[in-house]
Amino acid sequence: MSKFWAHDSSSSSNSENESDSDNSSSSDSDVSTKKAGDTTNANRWVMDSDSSDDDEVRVVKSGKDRRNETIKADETKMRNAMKVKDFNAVDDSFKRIQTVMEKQKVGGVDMPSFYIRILCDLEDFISASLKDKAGFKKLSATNGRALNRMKLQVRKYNKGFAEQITAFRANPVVSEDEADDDSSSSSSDSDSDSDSDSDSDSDSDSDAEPKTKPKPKEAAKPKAKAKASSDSDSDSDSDDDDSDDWGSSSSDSDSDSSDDDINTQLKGRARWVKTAVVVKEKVVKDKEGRAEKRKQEKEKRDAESAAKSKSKFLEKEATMTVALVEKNLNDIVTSRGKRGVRASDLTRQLEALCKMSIQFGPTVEIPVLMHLINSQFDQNRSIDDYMSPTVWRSCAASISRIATFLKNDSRLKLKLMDADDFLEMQMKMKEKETSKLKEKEVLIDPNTGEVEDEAQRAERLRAEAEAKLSEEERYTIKAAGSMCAFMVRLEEQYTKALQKTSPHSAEYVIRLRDEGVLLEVLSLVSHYYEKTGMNTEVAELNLLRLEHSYYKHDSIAVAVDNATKFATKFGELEALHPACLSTNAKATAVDPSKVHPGAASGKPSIAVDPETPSPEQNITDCASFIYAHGSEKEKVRAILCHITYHAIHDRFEEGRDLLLMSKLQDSVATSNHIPNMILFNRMMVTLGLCAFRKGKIWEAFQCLSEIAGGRLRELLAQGLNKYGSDKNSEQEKAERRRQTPYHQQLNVDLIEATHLICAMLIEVPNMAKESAGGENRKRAASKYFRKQVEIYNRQIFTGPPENTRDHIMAATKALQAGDWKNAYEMVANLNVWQLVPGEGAKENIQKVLMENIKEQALRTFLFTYSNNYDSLALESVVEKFDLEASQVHSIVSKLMFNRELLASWDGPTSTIVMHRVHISKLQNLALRYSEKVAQLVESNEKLLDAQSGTYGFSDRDFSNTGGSWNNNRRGNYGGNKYNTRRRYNNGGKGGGGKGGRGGRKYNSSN
Amino acid sequence: MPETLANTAWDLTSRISTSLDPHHVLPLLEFAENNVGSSSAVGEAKLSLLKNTFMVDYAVEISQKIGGKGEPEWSEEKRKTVMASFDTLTKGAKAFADIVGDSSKKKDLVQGNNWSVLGLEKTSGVKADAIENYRKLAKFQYECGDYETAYNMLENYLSLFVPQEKSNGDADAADDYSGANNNNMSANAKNMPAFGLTDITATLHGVLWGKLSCLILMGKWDEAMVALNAVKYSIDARSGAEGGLSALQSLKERTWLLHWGLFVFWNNSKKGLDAIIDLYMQEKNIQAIQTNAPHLIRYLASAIIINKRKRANLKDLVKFIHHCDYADPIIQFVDCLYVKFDFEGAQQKLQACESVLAADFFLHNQTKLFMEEARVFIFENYCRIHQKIDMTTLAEKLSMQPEDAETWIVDVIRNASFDAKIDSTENCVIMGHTTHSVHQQVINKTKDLTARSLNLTSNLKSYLGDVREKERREREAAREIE
Repeated sequence: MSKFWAHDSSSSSNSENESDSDNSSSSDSDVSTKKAGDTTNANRWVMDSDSSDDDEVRVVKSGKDRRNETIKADETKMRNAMKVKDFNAVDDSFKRIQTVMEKQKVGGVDMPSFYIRILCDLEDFISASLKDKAGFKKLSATNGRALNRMKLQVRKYNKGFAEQITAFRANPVVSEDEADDDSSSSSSDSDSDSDSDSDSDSDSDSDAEPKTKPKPKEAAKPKAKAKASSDSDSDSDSDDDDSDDWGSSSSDSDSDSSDDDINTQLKGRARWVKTAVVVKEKVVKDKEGRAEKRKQEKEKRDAESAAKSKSKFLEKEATMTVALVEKNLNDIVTSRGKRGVRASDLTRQLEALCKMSIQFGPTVEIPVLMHLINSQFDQNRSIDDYMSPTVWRSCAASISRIATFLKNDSRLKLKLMDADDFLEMQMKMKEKETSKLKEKEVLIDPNTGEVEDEAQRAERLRAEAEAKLSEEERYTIKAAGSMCAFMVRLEEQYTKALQKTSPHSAEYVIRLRDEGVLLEVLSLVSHYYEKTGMNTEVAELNLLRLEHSYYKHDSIAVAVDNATKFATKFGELEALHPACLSTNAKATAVDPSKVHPGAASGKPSIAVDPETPSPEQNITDCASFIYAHGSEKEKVRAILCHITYHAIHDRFEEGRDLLLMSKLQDSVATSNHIPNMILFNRMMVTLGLCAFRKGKIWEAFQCLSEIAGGRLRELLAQGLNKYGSDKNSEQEKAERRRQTPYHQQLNVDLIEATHLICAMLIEVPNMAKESAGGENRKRAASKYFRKQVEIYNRQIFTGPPENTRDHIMAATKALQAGDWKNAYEMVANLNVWQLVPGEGAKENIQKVLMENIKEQALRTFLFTYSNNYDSLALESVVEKFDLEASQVHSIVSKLMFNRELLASWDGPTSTIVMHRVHISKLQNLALRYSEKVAQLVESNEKLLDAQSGTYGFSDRDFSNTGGSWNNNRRGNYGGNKYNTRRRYNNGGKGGGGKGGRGGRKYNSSN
Repeated sequence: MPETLANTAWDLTSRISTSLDPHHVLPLLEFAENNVGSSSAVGEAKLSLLKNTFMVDYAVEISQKIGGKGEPEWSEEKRKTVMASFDTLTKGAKAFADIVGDSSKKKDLVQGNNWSVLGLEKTSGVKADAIENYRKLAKFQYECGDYETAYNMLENYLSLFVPQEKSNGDADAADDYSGANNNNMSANAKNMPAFGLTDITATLHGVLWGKLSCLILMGKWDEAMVALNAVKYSIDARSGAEGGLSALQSLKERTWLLHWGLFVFWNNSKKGLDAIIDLYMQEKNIQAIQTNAPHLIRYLASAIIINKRKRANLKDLVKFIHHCDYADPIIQFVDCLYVKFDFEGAQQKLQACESVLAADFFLHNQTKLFMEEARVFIFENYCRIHQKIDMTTLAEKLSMQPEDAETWIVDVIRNASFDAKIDSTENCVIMGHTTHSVHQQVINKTKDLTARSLNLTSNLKSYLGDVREKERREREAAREIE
């Protein structure tokens, strides 16, 4: 195409030359120039008609073809030379043609008719040039000589073809086929300036026989007539014609070609009509006006050709009609997905079309936009591709534009294209193909009786069709794709982009801003659906909104929101003048002579609209809408998000109640829906952190213990298992796709710290109790913690704590010794506490830690060392643990009451009196013996159970007692647990899983 | 609900009344009237309640009492509509009401197995909508305050839906349920929950509620207990069924049931205390309390404290309290005593409890009992963790005079068989501690071993017998094949 246009622009300069020379010659008022013009015109005409049949795809060329081509090339040169009367060049070209023809003759091939025509033309040209005495005199010496030489040569040479030439002269175009054979290359330069003569003819022709005229003859007739009539026409007239035509036809062809290749055939017919109008004009307008017009048009042409080279799809807006837009749209859309058509090209075309269509209002623009969005989504082919930020933004902008249209004009409605519509579209396409055949047919507006071109007709038909529609139908826009689906995909692309972008890059941070855009568009679109009462869509969109806002703490959400508003209003912060960024710049009265004007008004600020609903309000609205209207799956996600949101804002009770009421603990694990499981895990962890912040250690531990552990990252989809996973590449890819975007990730270190501290607070007293030996060995609450302690104890050399876990382990050591101060020091100042959002969060956590550590230290102390005391004064304990007397009293009383501590209060002196029993060695042995016997009986029972098949009915007994048997069993159990946990990662089958168990445990703790 | 009544800090009338029928609230308000004394506010509240019922005359009476303004403006209009609807309903239900009134005819029908909606239509031409009208009429009577009539009518209506085979076995049962004595009733309730109804539709569900309501208002607590169980059964049945109650609805209905149960339980001191604990401690009901009506814990806690036999539930109660964010003196008392072991606090709370209980419609009769039991409860706990207690401090903790306390303690020690002695020189109570001796421990550990071994051998024997039997059969089978 570009080649085509390049030629075109060059041709325009050519034609300028030509018209100039024509003008000069016409001022000489000589007949010979006229003749020359005639011939060239005639030739041009013939060539032009061929050009549409031009077939660029030539693969194999015969020797004859090749020869023909060289001849044609030479012919072109010759004709050009003829135009400028460069007889030398003409001579050269002629000689070359001759030699080629000689060869051909030897090959025994017939003379091609075009060759005869060349000869003919040449003869005419020379004789005309010779007749033009004045012109001859002007010629340079070499040119004059060449002309004379030519005259002789041609006469001599032509004698050999006398027969053919006379035949040709009698009937200029022997047959259409031969004309078809005629060159394409020769025509390209003269393509746009065309049938000057035939125009006037066609005018009269069409008057006489509007439609019946068969096409092939149509081509021949005008030429003959042109010849006949050309004499009667005044020179200047025909000249004007020429240039006028040129203008109009070029503009025609401009628009056509920009319509895309398919429309090129339109050109012919359109041109006919246009020129007809021009001919009429010609009568009315005086020469001066025409000259001026010509000038203007020339300028216009120049501008156009410049614009064309930039974007060939840009059209003059004036020539656009709605029908044309629609047609173009259809053309573009049908080329979608075809081989060799790049999606990005389509996008560009559609973008251009979009700009065109703006003038016709939303009803026209929206379908184009919809297709544009579609094509933008088309650009990424593979599942792991993601949209580039620019495309994404423009796509979001398109969607939001549509949504704004829909919002502003409540009459507008979108309708999904159904099968009928597609059929209709295809029919239209077929029609167009058939219309190609009856190309030159002249169209007449049945209403006005005036001639119209195809575009006009289409436009008229469309207008008529539209007039028939009812009000509602007119505003119902049939569009490909639904806004809701677009939003889902847009969101998908966004998340994908975040997953693929390195979270530490600036790009990621910039990308995060788009979340605000996304939310805005989402709310816009959902507003439309809400208005039309399509609740399922609204629920879907609301869920997306929820998923993009639930993870933010309100304080952060508001800050981010304001920053986004600021950025949209004032641009980047860096771009602002530094003077106005200083914090003490205030909008008070400042002396402008001393202060930078930028700083005088202070930092630009955005007015916070009190009307904007708070993030909390937004989330509650979204969630409650989904609860009311959403599908089951959406409800589950909404609830999970909602609970997480509560948890982030320290509303543990609300979150817990929501969780318990929804009974998700049981259903999520069995649902086998991995994204939900991930969300569930996230929710559980967040809830656990929340409980911890609220000082509910046991609850926090319950929530965290199921998920925090070795596989925390994997369970939260926050990173892949680095060490040799047993997944195949497909599973790994799938897992990669599930990853939580970085900014939504929960801090693993924080989770681990919280989990371990909870475990520490629970387990350390338990361990102390066990080692004191009073109680039966209970099942460990946290195996993970015990293992960590074991590992820590096994270290030969223990250095100062470095990471979070080390700190907690060191704290554990201190706690075991009842040294609460050290234990507190170790954990209170961990870096991770700074990550907790909210006002005074760190202090709050420290308070919680302090209280709990003191209490547990006291308990541990009593368990561990009570054997070494006979009695303990309350005051000394109070002093040692820095607790209130009442607190100590209540803690100790509880231990006594539950028989965990064998002691009692001595009321009047407020001392703890230990009831220690001294056990003699014999008694001790007796005790142990009795225990062993009991074990023996028990294992016998187990054995029988295993034999008789009631195996495992008393699972709890197994784990309550020691023995190798049991250890084995327990190991198995652990293994099962492990498997069920892992199940989600494999995308495996079956239920169970952590969620379910977590929930049950959770319930049982109630 | 009337805010003016909430002047006593822990008054639950307003919270409870949201889950009660307007008719139930009236006695509550009357009680509050006696208690608070601000009769005009109570009267206003009553009026607003009565506006929704058909008890126009009563409303007029009250409005005259409080304002003297005469009849409220809506009363005249209301009366008209009430009369009109009464007429239409009576007319509509006449066909069925006649049959019910004619006992001989009814007996025939019952014996002819035709005492059902279909049967009636076949034999006596009573249309289904007449029966439906009869039900509506019952509801109307209830709204008018004629609970007795309403109850009887509902009984008649319900009997239509009891499957024939069952009612045939006991012809009189269908005739007159209410006449059956208590023992019979509980047996009935056990065997045939929901009065033998098999398929409970939404309408019947409503009727069951209506029946319970009538019984409560009539003060027939034993029957009400049965009706309550019927409703409970019905809720269970319907919440699981297709097209029945949604999860939220069933939660709501459970909440209602728990509230209505208060009437039944606290007025039926014989069985009520056990029943309330059992009912409230059910998993589903715990959920309902936790989410919809945490204030009900007060009644549960009171019941547990008063009812010694159910003390075992205390641990669950504590957990339960821990999960609800509701607190009043009674709950706090339990919390102090059982979680914090703060006897000072417990004692203070106990005093607060007294006034709260006295002002509570359901609990005011139990106040004395509660205080007594709570005191013993404190004492028990106190003794359990002390070995030497000063009498004066103990008396303080029990909020008693030292002299009274001594006699009281002696009584308790004697009754509860505490191992305790009073040292009168030091004015102390000295607890004797029974630590488990090693011998005791060994005995405990080995006590059940014989029984278990015995069990084991017998199991083994039977297992071996099974195996041998199996082998023998296989052998026989093999032989037969040969």
